[in-house]
Amino acid sequence: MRISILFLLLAPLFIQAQTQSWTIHMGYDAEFMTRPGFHLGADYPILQKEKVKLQTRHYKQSNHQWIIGSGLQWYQHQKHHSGLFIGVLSGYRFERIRQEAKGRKRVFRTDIQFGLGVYRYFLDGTTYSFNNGDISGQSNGGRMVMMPITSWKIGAQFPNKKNIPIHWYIRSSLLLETQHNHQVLPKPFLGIGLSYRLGH
Amino acid sequence: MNIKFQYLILIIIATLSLGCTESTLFSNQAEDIFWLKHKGAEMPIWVEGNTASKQFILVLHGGPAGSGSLGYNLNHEFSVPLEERYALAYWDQRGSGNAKGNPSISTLTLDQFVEDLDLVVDAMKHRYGTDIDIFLLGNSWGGFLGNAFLSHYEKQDKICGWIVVDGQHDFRQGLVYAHQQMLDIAEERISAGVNPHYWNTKKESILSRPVDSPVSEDYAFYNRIAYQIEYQLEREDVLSQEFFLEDGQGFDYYFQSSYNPITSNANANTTNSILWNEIIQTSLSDELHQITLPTLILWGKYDTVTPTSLAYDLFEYISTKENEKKLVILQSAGHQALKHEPRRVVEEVISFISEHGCNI
Repeated sequence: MRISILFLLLAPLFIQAQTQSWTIHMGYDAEFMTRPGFHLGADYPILQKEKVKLQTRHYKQSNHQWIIGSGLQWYQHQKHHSGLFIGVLSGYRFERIRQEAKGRKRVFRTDIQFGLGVYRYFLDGTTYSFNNGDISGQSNGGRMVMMPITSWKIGAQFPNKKNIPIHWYIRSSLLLETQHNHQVLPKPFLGIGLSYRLGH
Repeated sequence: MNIKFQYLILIIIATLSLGCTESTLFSNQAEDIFWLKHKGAEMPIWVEGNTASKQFILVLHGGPAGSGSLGYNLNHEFSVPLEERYALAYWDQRGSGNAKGNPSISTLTLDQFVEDLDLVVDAMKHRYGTDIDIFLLGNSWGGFLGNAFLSHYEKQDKICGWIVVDGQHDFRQGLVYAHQQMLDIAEERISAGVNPHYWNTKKESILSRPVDSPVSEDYAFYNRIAYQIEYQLEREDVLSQEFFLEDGQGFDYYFQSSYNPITSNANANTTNSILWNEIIQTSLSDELHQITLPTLILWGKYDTVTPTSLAYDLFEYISTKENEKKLVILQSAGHQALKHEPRRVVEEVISFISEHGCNI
């Protein structure tokens, strides 16, 4: 299991050499809208198709990217448990750039990603168990299970004169906890965050 | 290592460890949580209220596969006055409420739930001390579970008293009683001239479904009709409603409490149907004589989910001394007695515990 976690974390780095720029994300995330948490992530475009349209006063560029990345998500369900998800994701990103002749640049971006990872939840308080009549207690009880994830982001670049590629985004994601009482337990998240493209 | 990265790691570890801190065990406003992990299930037990009193009420929720918090902890008319005096332990049973884990289907049995309850009691005594008083309060299915648990002599030694609120012990017999009680209520309402069309329709519906040799669908049918009757009686003001959600309380509870409706529904989808098929074929009537504990039986007069006649049977079947058992029929309550007459329920529970504590 440890090897798979290591792989999940490092997977994007294996392909780093093939791409030129990668984007990092971080933000506030809330499970079931109000249970606080955060997410961190990084992704790389492994395939990109650009379409540029030049006009007198501006130009428009549409980018279609296939991306791959990794993500980490944590949240706290008060008086119950906290959960940590680590996984790899892949998906499609659409980016529309509109550059005015006067130098003003607008970037709109949306992406949808699917992935798979491991999820470990940590039960609040002491977890007791019995073995041949003897009771023992442990902190941070819980289990690790596989967890598929899908996420959708929409956002735009902050307007700035230097065209620094910092974006805000709204992110919704759905994680599916497998092996929960013979059901797949959906965990909806809603969050906001910032992303930054390195090496711009 | 980069100093900023070290800070980040420290912040993450500190935040993660927030969930690990143990709250003060004994206080008059305790908010404690611990878990029982057993045979694939991880079951939370929230202990709230006056743990310093060393008198604990372990709530056995309804369902099967209901929730220990929803309907009990949320019901402030019930929980607040009791938590001022005692510690209330809200336990989410195996595969129920907000319990976690992936227990084998083969463990979703009455015997396993009884074993779990035994271990929850042991864990409470381990955590809070062997000198605490534990009372069981079982509602609906929780009544069935408590009756099954207490029908073992040796388990009664761990418990100070048994409080049953609209609790089951015999689904087959209960169905026969429900059939008759529903007809009686319909007749009563028709005679009173209140919504005769509604009650005549219900009467015809009940008469069309005999209970001579019931199958699983018949139990589901009568369960559904029973709740429909209860809601109609609420609308006709036959049942009082002392418990209402305060403004914003429902939102807070769903989104900002330990309760999670998605988890609860997922659990119910699995556990309810499996356990239901077993318990409708199980009668505890012949085992109730083994109960000798002080017992308080609280029942809604208009309860057709667990019909009122079951209360009289239970009162008669248990072997508790006459001066240690009490039956209270709540005149303005149905199956949801904690919603209809929580104040009377609380009053009776306080009176019962004051007379029957283990250390009295």
